[in-house]
Amino acid sequence: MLKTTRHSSFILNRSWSFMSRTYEVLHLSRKGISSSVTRERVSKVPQHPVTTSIKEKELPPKTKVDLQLVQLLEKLSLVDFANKEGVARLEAAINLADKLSVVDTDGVEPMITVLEDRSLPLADDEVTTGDMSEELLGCAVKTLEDYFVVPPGNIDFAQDEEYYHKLGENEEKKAV
Amino acid sequence: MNHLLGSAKDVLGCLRQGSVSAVELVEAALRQQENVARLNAFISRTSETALKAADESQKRYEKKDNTGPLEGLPVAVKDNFCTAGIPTTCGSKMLQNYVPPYSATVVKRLERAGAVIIGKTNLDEFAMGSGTVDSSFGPTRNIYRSGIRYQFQNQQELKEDASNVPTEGLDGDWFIAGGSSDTGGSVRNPASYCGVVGFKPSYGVVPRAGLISLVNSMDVPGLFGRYVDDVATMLGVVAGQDSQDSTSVSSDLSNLKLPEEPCLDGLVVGIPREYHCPGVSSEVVDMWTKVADIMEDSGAELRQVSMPHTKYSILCYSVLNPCEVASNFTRYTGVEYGHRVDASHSMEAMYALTRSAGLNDVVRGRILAGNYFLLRENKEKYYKQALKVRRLILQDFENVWNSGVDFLLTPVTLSAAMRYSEFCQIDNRTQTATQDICTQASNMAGVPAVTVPVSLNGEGLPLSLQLMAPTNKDAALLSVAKWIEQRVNFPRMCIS
Repeated sequence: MLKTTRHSSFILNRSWSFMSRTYEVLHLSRKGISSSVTRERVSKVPQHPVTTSIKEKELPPKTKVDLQLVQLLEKLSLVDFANKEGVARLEAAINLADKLSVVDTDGVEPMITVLEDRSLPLADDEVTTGDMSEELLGCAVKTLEDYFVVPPGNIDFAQDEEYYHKLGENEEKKAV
Repeated sequence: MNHLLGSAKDVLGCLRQGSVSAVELVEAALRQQENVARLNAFISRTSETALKAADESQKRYEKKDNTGPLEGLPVAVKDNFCTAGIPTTCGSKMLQNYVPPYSATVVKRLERAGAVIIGKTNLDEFAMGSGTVDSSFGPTRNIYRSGIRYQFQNQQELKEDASNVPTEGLDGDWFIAGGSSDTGGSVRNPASYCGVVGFKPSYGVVPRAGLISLVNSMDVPGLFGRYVDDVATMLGVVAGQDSQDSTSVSSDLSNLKLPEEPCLDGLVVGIPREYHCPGVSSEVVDMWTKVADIMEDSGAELRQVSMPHTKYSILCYSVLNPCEVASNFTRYTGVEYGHRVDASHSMEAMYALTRSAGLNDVVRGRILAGNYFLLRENKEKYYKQALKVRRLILQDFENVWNSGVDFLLTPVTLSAAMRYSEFCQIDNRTQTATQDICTQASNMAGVPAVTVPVSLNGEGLPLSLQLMAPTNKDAALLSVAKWIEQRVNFPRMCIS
């Protein structure tokens, strides 16, 4: 029977040796219940890690990122990464994502948003804000009159000749 | 009396009575901000506007006219919330020059309630990370072991003068309260490492308009505070549907007030076994066990439950985050705002050069990975598969709630804060994978989660626990968090 008062506060400090409860709290050794001391209660908290690791052999073969893929992704992303670190980073990301393939998702519908069961409110087709062209243009580095300025489109961005050279070098080295 | 040490409730009481003026309080907060500048917690300090706002709050108190629920309270806001007229950088070179012409809804609501914003806080670039080590403005240090002298309330005087032990940074504020964002654990992890309350509301309950997007389907504005009651007060101010955010939902949280003495009678608390994952330190397990036992002794029914897809949550996030990022970040071109590198011959070239200059490795890596997962040949295998696993993770939660469990009690982080040098040896992806392991699933499922500081470990660093509840049970969740807070008597820090 607890002798504590109704709103007792339990001061949990570093050494854990002071508890203002009066029944026995005995230390559980990391390896399990020691033979000389038994705990009076079994906690609902698991005292050992619950491990189920994903077996390597169940995974698809590791993807190697080749020059073609680098060029395609750079074109789609418009960011550069054709160096050792960038490629390694991408391969690691793919490797991690591959672990999802072991999950059985047969018959499971993709879930795009947790609000899928709701009807989201729609606004009336009415202009309620605006007249901020000065403030908005003020955010841009380069403007001309009331326009944002953009260089001509439809011109492919080609990295200079040397750019992929190192990456190609690395690939050749790997092949040797 | 140092008013900054109290709860928001106490401070607001003093302001109302007039024992401290709003201007005095904000001046004290600004001095404190200066004192701890070495932590590098702030990107922008807004002393001028803060003092002006404090002055107006003071006038309202004097006239007893129209004072808001947070009138005169100093708060800080993470630098990915737009604040009109105040630079909003997201910790990135890309937005270093960006001064928004509008404020986020959360910011507007805080200001309308009378809160005084004293600065914008540091974050990993575009919120990609949980340690604030990847910001373009330098890392933020944890106040514990920062070399700043402090002692603890409710304990014998302890002056900590250890220097040069920088530990993981705080993503938000530690003053009285702060607004932040949580997509994978970005509020709860730092809160755990810094010994404060960190709260992630149910998805949609607090509107995202003006919060610069990371992952639209998981981003949630979150709250920091020293006490659960303070977080509840702030939630009551910022929650509520917003016509500018179609993913915001209505709730009954306006003017939220938690019970004075929450009670656990009849509640069922679940312990998901999979949250004892490999790597959880023994001191965290001990603390988890002790709090679970205390709850059981106080009238709650404790049950061990299983959430088998927990371990896939981080893997799922590693796909869904980059996919949404790849899409969201197409907006950073340098044309309408932000950093711009001129390349007059081609639009594509200008975009590519701007993005390479403005975005760091972590951000670029995620954009590339996202585009890889979204390639036609990969979409089914990666993106769609991740969306299906997301539903399985949600179903884990639903099965637990349907079995009669009201709340879940779990660890937040695997251990107390790590040394900066150790933390930086791990790359960002591994950092995320290990740090977010207990926090990510609630973002996947959209359920509310809160971390409560419980105790200090053998080295004097804070340890916390996490509580989760069904969607939209935010008020009930905070009540249980308050119950724990009242029982554990966590030694709160006072800076000398």
